[in-house]
Amino acid sequence: MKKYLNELARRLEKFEMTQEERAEIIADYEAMIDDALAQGLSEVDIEAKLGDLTSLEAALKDDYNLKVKSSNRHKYVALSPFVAIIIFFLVGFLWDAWHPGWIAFLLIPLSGLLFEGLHRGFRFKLTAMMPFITVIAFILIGTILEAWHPAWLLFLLIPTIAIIESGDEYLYEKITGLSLFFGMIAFVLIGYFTGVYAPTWLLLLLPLFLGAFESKHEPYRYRVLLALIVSVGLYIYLGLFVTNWVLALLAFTIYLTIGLLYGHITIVADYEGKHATFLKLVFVMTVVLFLLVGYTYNAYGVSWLFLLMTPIVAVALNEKDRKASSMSPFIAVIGFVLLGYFLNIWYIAWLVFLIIPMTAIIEDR
Amino acid sequence: MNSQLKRGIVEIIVLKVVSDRSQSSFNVIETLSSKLSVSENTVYPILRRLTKQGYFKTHTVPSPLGAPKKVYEITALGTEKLQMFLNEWRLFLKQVFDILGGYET
Repeated sequence: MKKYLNELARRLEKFEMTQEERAEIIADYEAMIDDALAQGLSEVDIEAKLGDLTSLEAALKDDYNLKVKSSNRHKYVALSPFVAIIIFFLVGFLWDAWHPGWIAFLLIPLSGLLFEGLHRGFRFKLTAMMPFITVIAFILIGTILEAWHPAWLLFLLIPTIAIIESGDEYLYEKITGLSLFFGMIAFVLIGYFTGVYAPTWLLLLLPLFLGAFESKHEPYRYRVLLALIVSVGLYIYLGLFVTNWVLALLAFTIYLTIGLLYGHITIVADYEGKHATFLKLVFVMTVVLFLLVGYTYNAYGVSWLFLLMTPIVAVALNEKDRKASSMSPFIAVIGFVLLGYFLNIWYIAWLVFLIIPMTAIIEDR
Repeated sequence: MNSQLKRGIVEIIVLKVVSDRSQSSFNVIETLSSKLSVSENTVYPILRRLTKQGYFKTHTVPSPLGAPKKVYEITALGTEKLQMFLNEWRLFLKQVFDILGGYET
């Protein structure tokens, strides 16, 4: 019965009561146990008669308040709005940098996530903090270096970190998933700094190559790899020697034909099973839109916003508790870029980012 | 049954049981558990609350088998409260039966 009494003492610690009251309750229970033992009841019978301590805890809530756990992390989070205001005004008055000094306000939701994260396990919370970290880095690089494009690539770090943090299982599948984002980042950076987009876009095909190795079915694996290698080889040959990279794309009809014939390429909209297939479809569609609108209107500076649809849809489908807070960084970026790009009001458009802390405060429980 | 309602009714029963005979909390639960599905962990907080409210007083009696026993005894205030509860309870039951039909008092 010692275990039962220890558990009782532990639960009583949760309530605001004097040590005397706590000792009295424990003494009463000891007396009850003595009574029961005197009547010949076994320890199992006594525990059954006393009942589950959760019911006692529930009943005591009528008479005693639960202790409010106060800790330093709450203090730091509560202080963050004041710190943000001080930084904002200091940076504004001293260096006339109201923009991007306003990003100090992003410290408010970030500090909440950080301190809560340190308390519960930092690794998990890094994924939650990534939208804020990337927005801050994006604004700083965009403002200081005027390189909004390709600074937006930072947003691809959000799914990248999420994949890295998603556990140690399925390592190979994770590498395949990551190759999609690394390929994209490498492709855009090479294109940005050298002006060469072909044949470097082949980097986007990395997941197809790596994905083929995931299959344990050998004929399937060799067929996919062979079709890919032949298509890529022919594409490079036609591009280099016929010097027409657009015409060279016809080489991929080999891969597409074999893929469709043998069922490697299927388009399935699967809303079940964590929406994985649907999200892949969204990603592919947004990449197509990004390239199509960027190429047709020479508007890569704004067409990359289509790529934000993947994390937005992922949040809409998967996030349960803090849907609006998780989506707000993306919505703010879209609003900011659209206002800046089309109306050329970058200097005031940053105000859109205030929806991030506002949403976090409204949604905070 | 709604746990809040059940707790309220058990409170009246505990007052009645202790008013019939001064007894220890274990004996109260023994009396109750033979007829109702309740555990000590439900009854004990009620005994404690009623004592705090002055409806019970406690005293200890020596026990040959261990530590002295705490015995609950109803006070004049408790008796008055029990009477009030019983009157309300009977009136409530009558009204319920009038509407739903059933036991005639």
